[in-house]
Amino acid sequence: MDLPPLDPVIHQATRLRIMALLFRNRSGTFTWVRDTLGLTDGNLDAHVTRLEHAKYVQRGLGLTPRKGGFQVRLRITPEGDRAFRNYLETLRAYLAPPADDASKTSDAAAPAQPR
Amino acid sequence: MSATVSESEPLSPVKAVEEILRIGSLHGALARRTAGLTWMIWGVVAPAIFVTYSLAGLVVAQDPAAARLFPILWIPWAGLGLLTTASLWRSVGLVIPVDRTRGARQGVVTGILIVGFIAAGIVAIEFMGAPISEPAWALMGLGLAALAVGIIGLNCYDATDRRAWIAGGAIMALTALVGSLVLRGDIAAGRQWFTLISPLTSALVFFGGGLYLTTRA
Repeated sequence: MDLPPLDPVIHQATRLRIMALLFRNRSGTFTWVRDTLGLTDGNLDAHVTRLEHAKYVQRGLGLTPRKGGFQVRLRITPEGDRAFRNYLETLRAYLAPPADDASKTSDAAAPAQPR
Repeated sequence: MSATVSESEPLSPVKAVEEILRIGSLHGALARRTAGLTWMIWGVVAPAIFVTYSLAGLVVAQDPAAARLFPILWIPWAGLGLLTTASLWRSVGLVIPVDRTRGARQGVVTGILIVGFIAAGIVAIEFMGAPISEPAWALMGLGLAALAVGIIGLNCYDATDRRAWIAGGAIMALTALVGSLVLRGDIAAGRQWFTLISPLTSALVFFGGGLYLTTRA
């Protein structure tokens, strides 16, 4: 069975976590994403830059009144939202049991290493 | 603030699904509980409004001039509900990112729908002399508005929240309809009975619904 490739921009452990977090929460400050996922500033910045190039994530400045300044805010874009939904659909296809042998459900995902 | 992007970490589709589920559960329970608590707040506010109008009815019986206060009696309670809800979500926003602008916008639209449904019905009853008492219509208007909110998907944290809006709205609208039919359009009896039925039903739906959403989280 020919399966479509998984989006290489999203299909990477750290970027997948970032996208899943932003997909669910729509937006969050850079600091919050960093602390929630246990990343370093540099690591998160590098992955966000990659997601920005793909137009999946947008970086903006948000005012935080009580902290007396601006904070970088990450927001999932409509393109990012669409791409993540497509990614989930593709993942579902990878994990679906083959039509001719539904009994091998548990083994279906194991050989399906994308790329 | 720069680093090279590591692409080497292998990621199987199964592992990818596990990661997505793990991220989804990080703050979901807290947000769901807060949504439930919001329902419970309005489960106190809605009956309080009904009881206030019942008491105001007693005052108007003594002094008809007090009827001028009827259009605004709900505002202090709604204000208290809004303040409590906003404070609750503001507190939760310290831990998880909450889009408060979007939440406030949806809250305002929900409020307009509820007030619009009830006010339009009350005005229609006055002009057309429909055989339904005002407290019965208020419950029905609240139910229809809740139904509309659920169908549109406003203020819904997840599918369960949305189903709760639809089910709660249907329960309130059906209770008002069945109660009015049983009373056979007797306005005086409707005013008496729905003084009890409307606050109890709205409390049951909102407080009970909130309790269900909170314990389920």
